[in-house]
Amino acid sequence: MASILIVEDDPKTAAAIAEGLRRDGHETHLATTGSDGDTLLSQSRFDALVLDWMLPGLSGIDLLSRLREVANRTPVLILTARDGVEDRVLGLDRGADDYLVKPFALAELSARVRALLRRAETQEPTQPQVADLTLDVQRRIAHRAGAEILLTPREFDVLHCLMRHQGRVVTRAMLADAVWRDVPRATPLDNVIDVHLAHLRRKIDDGQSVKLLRTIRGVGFSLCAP
Amino acid sequence: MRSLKHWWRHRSFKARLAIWYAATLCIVLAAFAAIAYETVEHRLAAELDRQLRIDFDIVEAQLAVDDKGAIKWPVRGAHGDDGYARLFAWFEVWSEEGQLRMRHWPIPEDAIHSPLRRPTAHALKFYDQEIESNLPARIMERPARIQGQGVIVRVIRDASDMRQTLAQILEVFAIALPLAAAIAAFGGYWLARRALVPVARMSAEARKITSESLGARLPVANRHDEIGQLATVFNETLARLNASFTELKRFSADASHELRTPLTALRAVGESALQEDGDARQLKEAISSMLEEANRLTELTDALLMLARLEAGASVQFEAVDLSTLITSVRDTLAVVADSKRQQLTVHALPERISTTGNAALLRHAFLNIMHNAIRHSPAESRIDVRTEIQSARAFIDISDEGPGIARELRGRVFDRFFRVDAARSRETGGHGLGLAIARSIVERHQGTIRILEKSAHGATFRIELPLAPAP
Repeated sequence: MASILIVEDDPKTAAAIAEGLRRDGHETHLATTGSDGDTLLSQSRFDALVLDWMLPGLSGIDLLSRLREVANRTPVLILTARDGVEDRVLGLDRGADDYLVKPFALAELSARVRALLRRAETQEPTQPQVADLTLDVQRRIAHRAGAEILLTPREFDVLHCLMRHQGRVVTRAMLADAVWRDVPRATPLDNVIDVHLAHLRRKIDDGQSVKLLRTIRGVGFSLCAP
Repeated sequence: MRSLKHWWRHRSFKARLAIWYAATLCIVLAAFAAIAYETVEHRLAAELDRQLRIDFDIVEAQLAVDDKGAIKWPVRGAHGDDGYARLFAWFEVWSEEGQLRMRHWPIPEDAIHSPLRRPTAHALKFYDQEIESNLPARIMERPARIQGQGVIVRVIRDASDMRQTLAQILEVFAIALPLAAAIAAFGGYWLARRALVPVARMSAEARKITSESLGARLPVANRHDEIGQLATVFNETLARLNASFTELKRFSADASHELRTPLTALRAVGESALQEDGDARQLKEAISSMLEEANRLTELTDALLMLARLEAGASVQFEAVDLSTLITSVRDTLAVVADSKRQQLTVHALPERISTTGNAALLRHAFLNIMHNAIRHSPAESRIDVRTEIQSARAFIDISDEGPGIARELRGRVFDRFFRVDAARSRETGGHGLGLAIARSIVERHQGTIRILEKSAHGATFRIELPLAPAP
């Protein structure tokens, strides 16, 4: 269980983020202004910080600079509506560990927070498994119920990404980032991802009584044991 | 000087033109008058001089020296007078030493108030002199020999006729010149006013044109004269303005439609889910549907922001890009979509390397949009071909499909924001209607062009033209 500070001035967004992270088993603290966040940070230690860029008074980016000046190494995830390349560079330069553009899916936020916290955690298994579906990451082979599934390289990458986040929702944006190293926004990449997922579903679940790959409408996909 | 300039600037165009006319005419007339006056004066003087020469000849021939060495006038008239009646001239005879030897003036000696000074030069000489007040005279001096005696003969003629004629000419000029200037000024003003009437009418017409009536045009009376050309140019500007206004209006209407549709769905689904006592499954269904609409809105906002940023000229990092790799990678990405429609997406004989300068991510985006557009609008089991040609430092990439094609009159508009060839099918085929607009913005950002080729008989061929990087 990790203790996470959320600094976000929009109450609805803040509440939703807090709720989402609590469901992931984290302890959340909330500040609605930059200076409140600053006070909380000077009083206690947090395992991660979810920080909005645009805040009334002390802005998120200034709070971040202040934090790094006093050598506070708490991992920081910046939330912002600014998606320009230069904004991204500025955010990372000031010491952010990750950068998430609004609007985002909560699934992606929680995945990124997990990634921030995982730094010290164990390596992921080389042979991840969901129910009777196994993946050999080294040899890039997948088996379902003992039978080998023939996958294209892209399909394998997609499945691998789903496996890494098994039991959780994976958004198209996450897949685009992990598999295509691209931002799907305003591009036809969503369509490409959907076709790959359709193929993958056919190969994994067709003829099986237990379906593993699920589509979460409006959010993304999830691979989970029943 | 400054106030004069200020004054001049505040005159109307008509007044300035009138002043210009008058001033120009004054200068021309004054020069003309001066030349005319000089010419007449010269002619008249020459005539007098000719008569003076004749007078001289007569005088010289008649003069004689008597026994005492005095110079006399021996001619006797029929009536016993001096015979001067035959002579119109007055004359004086001076010795070479400057002594007056004889004088013949038409007035008695003692009535002469201002005698002429003695001659100085011993050569032929003409000059004018006012002898008495109001008595201008033309005078000629010339050395002569009378019976071996050297003398200087001075012949004098009344020049008042000539002076009077000249004075009359001056008078005429003095009256005619201001009159002509006034007529010119008036004429200039009138002409300018006449010429400017269409301009005044144009400005009155133009004043009536507002953003609401940009379709109105100025009347063009004669498209060959300057005013007509001005009206034509103005009308062309109006047409362009109208086009961009129409485009802007259409864009606002389309944007609000595109933004409001998902918002409306979002509200409607949310409200109806809230009012019904549905079970968890129904509520989840409603929430999923709302999330889908939220995704549509996100996509639309992203596309609009991207376009706005491209059109505002936001700084983009340019580097060396290999189009061959880029096109191949776009093909690889989209192949799966084409396969799912059993379409053949073929990239034909690509050169090993097509070096250009640009932003790889943006160019990739443009090619993704165009090629995906071709896949989307083509029927199942059709072909999509990508052909590349290099010509004089430019790359031509043709993307042809076997879809329904685009009507000739719509070809220029498919790159407009939110433009859809078939509005009814927009939701069914998906997309936000900004893909081609984004592609065009990106290509133009790279000093390239994108258009639909005329030749395509069936299906559409999009041609992307990009400049190549200069050879190292």
